[in-house]
Amino acid sequence: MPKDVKVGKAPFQKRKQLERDIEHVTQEMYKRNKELAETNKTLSLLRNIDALVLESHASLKLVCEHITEAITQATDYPFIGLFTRTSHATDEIRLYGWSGKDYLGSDLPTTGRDPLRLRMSDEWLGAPEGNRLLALDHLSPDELSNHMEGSLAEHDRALKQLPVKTIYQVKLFVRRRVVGVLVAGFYTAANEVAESDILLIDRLSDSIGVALDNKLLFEENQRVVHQLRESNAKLRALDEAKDDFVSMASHQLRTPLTSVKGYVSMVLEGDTGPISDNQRKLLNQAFSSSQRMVYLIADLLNVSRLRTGKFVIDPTPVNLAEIVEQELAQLKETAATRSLKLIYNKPKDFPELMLDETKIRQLIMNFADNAIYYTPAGKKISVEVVDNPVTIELRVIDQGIGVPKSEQHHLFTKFYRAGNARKARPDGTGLGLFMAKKVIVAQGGSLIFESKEGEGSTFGFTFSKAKLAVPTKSAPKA
Amino acid sequence: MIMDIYAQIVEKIIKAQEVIIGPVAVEQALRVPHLKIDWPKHHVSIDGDQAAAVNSLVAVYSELFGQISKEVSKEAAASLVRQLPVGKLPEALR
Repeated sequence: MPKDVKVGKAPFQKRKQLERDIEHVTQEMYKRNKELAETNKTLSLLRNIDALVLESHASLKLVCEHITEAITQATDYPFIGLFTRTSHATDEIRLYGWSGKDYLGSDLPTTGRDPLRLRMSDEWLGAPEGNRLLALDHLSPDELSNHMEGSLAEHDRALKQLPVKTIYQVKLFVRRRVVGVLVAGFYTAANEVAESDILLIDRLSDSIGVALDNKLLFEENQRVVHQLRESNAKLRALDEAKDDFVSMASHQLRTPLTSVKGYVSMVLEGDTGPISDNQRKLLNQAFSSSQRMVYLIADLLNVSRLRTGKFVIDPTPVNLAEIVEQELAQLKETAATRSLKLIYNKPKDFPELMLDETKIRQLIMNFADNAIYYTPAGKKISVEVVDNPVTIELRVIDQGIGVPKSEQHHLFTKFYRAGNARKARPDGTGLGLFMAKKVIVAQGGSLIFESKEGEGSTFGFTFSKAKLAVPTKSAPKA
Repeated sequence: MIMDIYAQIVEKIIKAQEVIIGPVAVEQALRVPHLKIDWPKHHVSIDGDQAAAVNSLVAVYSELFGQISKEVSKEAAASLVRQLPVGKLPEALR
């Protein structure tokens, strides 16, 4: 019989053991599920915070409010506060977001009219690391002054506004610098705050720190953009005022210059009686200088017209070969005084083309004038006008100082002058080549430019003959 | 007012347990006497002794899942428990 008893006991013990095992497994599974639920909550919160920051165009303050609201909704903490720097430049950390209103039943904790501010001299804030639990139920307003800015009365009020026993503070570090402080309030005493809550706040802190830092950088960037826009607007206004002045001054200069040129021309043509060879030479010099000044003023005026949209091309039938001859004639004296050889072989039977004569003259004068000024004495300057089957070309080839390779791409921009050109001729305007390019392109041509520093440059243009063909006159009706 | 708080405590506890064990949390709560639950609407009411009903609910979970589930229930109810007078506090949440 005892045998039977033994047989009956064994299944009972086994069953008991099995029940204990099942209970153990169930509780272990519960524990694991709880951990998973907490991880899930953390991840969900992190995702929400990331989304808030990435998708939000709201201000730093609003982002802080959204973050604290998201944490409160997910955790049910009685108080969540987010202190942040208001900018990277200032040493001030303010309470910009908080949540927990349902339980506190009051507005944002304040010191007077301003949001709560952390005391930057608080040793904890300056320490390289460390989070802390503060037992508020034993904290006096006086002690709070070590951590917060404001008066004792304000601290007293702030403590009353936060009816929590404990707060957990986490410094938010980015690039080893505190960008803010996350504060969670608990109803429980400091030693009763759940480890899982501490862990959750710690895990959120990295992500919130980065979020605040990004928002701060974004807002600072926006401020810089705003300042740049304002500066640009001021500069644009100044530029317009300068252009208006240049335009007005150019008009005023042109009138007396026309008189000077006219009277010099009359004297040269003998209207005031015979003149000696020496007088002619000097007057020719004066005339060509006046002409250069006319072109310079025209450049200034054209720049102004480009801005106002009044720069127009006025094409008429022009013989380029003859124009080149006439313009170079004005520079012969100057070239001779600089011991330069100015070579031009005028082609015969050059076709007439529809070009803006005034502007083309100015352009030729500009290329040739530059060549004379930037070529050392004793060297030569060749001007070539070529009638190709499809195109015509003009090239002014000098043996001058050339343009440094590193500066060539700037050469045709407004007011730009290469370094060696500024040394050789400090009084240049930097407008000649800018306008030359505009004049060529506006008439459908292409610029020719080749240069080697110390060896010389070639400036010119090429035009399609078909594009500039002079329209044939229709035969008169019989 | 206090009656509402007990119902809110029950709702909070079921919610917290549901996050961990899923629909089983609601199934177990439905077995607790004096609790009337319309979970799809998150509506909870209590007939009879309110504190006892809360104690029973905490006990149901605790019997199945041990002490840790009791802690979960206490944490879930923490924000509401403080609104109750000490004498009215359910034993299981102390």
